[in-house]
Amino acid sequence: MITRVDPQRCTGCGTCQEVCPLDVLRLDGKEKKAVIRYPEDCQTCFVCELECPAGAITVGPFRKERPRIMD
Amino acid sequence: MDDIVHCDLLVIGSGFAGLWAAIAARDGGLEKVAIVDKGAVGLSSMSRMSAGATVYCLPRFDPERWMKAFIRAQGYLSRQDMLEEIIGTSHSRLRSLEAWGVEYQRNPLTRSYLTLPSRGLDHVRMMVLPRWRDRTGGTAVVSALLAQVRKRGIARYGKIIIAGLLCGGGRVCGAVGIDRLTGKPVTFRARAVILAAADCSFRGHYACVEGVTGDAFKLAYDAGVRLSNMEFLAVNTGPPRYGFEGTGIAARCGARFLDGSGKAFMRAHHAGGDKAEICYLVQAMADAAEGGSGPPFYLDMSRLPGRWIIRKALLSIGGWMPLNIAKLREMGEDIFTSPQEWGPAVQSLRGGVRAGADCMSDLPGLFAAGTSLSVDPGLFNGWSSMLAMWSGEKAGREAARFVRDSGDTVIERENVERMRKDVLAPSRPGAGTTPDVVCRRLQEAVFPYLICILKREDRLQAALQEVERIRDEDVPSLRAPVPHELVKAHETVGMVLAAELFLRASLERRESRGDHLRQDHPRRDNAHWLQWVNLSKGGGGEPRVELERVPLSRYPMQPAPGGE
Ligand SMILES: Cc1cc2nc3c(=O)[nH]c(=O)nc-3n(C[C@H](O)[C@H](O)[C@H](O)COP(=O)(O)OP(=O)(O)OC[C@H]3O[C@@H](n4cnc5c(N)ncnc54)[C@H](O)[C@@H]3O)c2cc1C
Ligand code: SF4
Ligand code: SF4
Repeated sequence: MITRVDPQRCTGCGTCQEVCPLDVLRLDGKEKKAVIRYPEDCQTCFVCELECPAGAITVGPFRKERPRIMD
Repeated sequence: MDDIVHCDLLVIGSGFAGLWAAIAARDGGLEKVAIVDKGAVGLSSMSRMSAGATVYCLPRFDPERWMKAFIRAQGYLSRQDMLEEIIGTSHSRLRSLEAWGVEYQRNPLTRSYLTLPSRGLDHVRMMVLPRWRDRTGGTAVVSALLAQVRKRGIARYGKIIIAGLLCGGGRVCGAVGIDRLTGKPVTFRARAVILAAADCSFRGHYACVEGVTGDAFKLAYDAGVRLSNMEFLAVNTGPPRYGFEGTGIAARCGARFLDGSGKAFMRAHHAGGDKAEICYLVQAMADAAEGGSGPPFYLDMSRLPGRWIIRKALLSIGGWMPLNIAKLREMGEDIFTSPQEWGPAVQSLRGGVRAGADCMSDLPGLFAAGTSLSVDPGLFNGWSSMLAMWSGEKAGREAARFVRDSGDTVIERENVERMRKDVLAPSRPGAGTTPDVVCRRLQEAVFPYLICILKREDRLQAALQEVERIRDEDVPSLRAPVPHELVKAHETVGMVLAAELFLRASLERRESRGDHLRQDHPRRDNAHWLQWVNLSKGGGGEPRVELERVPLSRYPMQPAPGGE
């Protein structure tokens, strides 16, 4: 799951907002910094972290639970 | 209506299929080609997350043997007309990619391509680890294609989800979407449309498939075209707690699946053992669950030989895997040294649009490519990418021809206004059900292994009843106060339809074949079931079912008489 956007590093370039397949990240209107708006929708694909030119994003490797196929 | 985007061809989706389609259409002479994607163009696709392992039939391989392997593995339900062309032309696509700067892994000494066997397909080998500049895996291939798209000046519209197709005069004439950031509708007028918007994973367990929500199926179904092979749901395997790609390679190289008591169990279930096709692996897990020896199941990769290619293949996959593995290690999880919990993971519904050999659907001007198109029912390593690239190129070229040979389209204002209103409907005020709640209910109906792996009529009927209830009660009450939720509402509706079609087609096919395993009809029945189950929108809101004989007498390969 995405865990952090470092506001100190974020330049507000908007790349993460553009590339996140699940629309988790948005640029904050006033500050023009990226914020994790919909964390519960993160699929842990690392795309935002890989594409962020400022190295401002951290994604942890563990994913949210889905209903299991077998209990 | 001056806020309309006008184009010759609209390509919906920008994975391998959509990007390749746009390039081929532009090279086929179309001036105005536009790509639209609900993520970033190219960079949010499943293709981008993929390992990029791809089967190319190099001159040193025997295409006939490949055909045989594929067709047998696909239970003779393949579109052999398409398959012959896919295999026969695959080398030319490799040459195009190389001309565009993509390099596949080669043996450092001999410089010959490094190839790995594709699981479950005799003789078939795939090429691995594509690179383009500093990028690896599917990301490398997508980035190279995107560079060609840019070079050709193809228009790109990201962050717009297409929610309806415009039809008129007996053909497709455009589409209506929603801007994900503003929630505003966007209209496209086009003389042809290519659906390359993937299939449906039901936001499943496999890595990176949560955005794959059956949108293409819904768009095609509402436009009145037939969908085929919807009973085949590919359930792969993976760890429940994190994403992993490369189980097939690991199993090929000596990793073992263990049951709840720590015993290797695959041998007892299938002659292929741990290297068996994915569907048999998953079915063995279901059998073990019935017998009480799992879950949990485990994958033990501790015996993998330390040869560089295996480590490298596992670690370099898809661009995101190295980061994933490094982060797991940082958190104290060295997944290569101790058995890891592993289990079935829903990946994708293998059905898709039933199209002619030119990739055009029943509706003139509407083409399908990639995983939105139905070519065959099974999922094999390296095969999806090849299929996506072939069908993208084919659909792009054929769409260019269609546009050249057919007149202009007209879209009617009333039609557009109605659709714009329809797509915004879930955002009307008032209390209702959230897309997350509906999605969860749907997953609970479809995901149990006694529905999605081991099927039986009574259970399928009960699941269908619940999905119909969701369709009739939950869907009309979907509420989406913000654009983010509005998009999810449309995705949910796509998944509900996909689930209904999956269950109906599963009930219809009264035999077992590949991923489709019926406990009440456990044998393959070639006498009756060398047929496709086609579904389309019928009167009264229920899907119409049609059985279509596989035209084996016109195809190069037939099953042995009386054989399986
Ligand atoms: C983790 C992973 C690894 C894989 N590894 C391999 C591999 O090594 N080899 C192999 O052959 N296959 C692999 N696959 C499968 C393969 O990646 C896919 O089958 C293939 O990439 C599909 O390509 P596509 O163009 O059909 O779809 P996609 O690449 O999924 O592209 C579809 C695009 O359509 C867009 N879209 C969807 N709906 C809409 C809508 N309503 N409006 C606008 N846009 C929309 C999506 O955002 C997406 O960008 C892998 C899959 C995964 C998930
Ligand atoms: S990509 Fe990085 S720098 Fe750009 S807006 Fe996002 S977090 Fe900020
Ligand atoms: S990891 Fe993937 S889904 Fe999660 S925020 Fe980043 S890009 Fe979006």
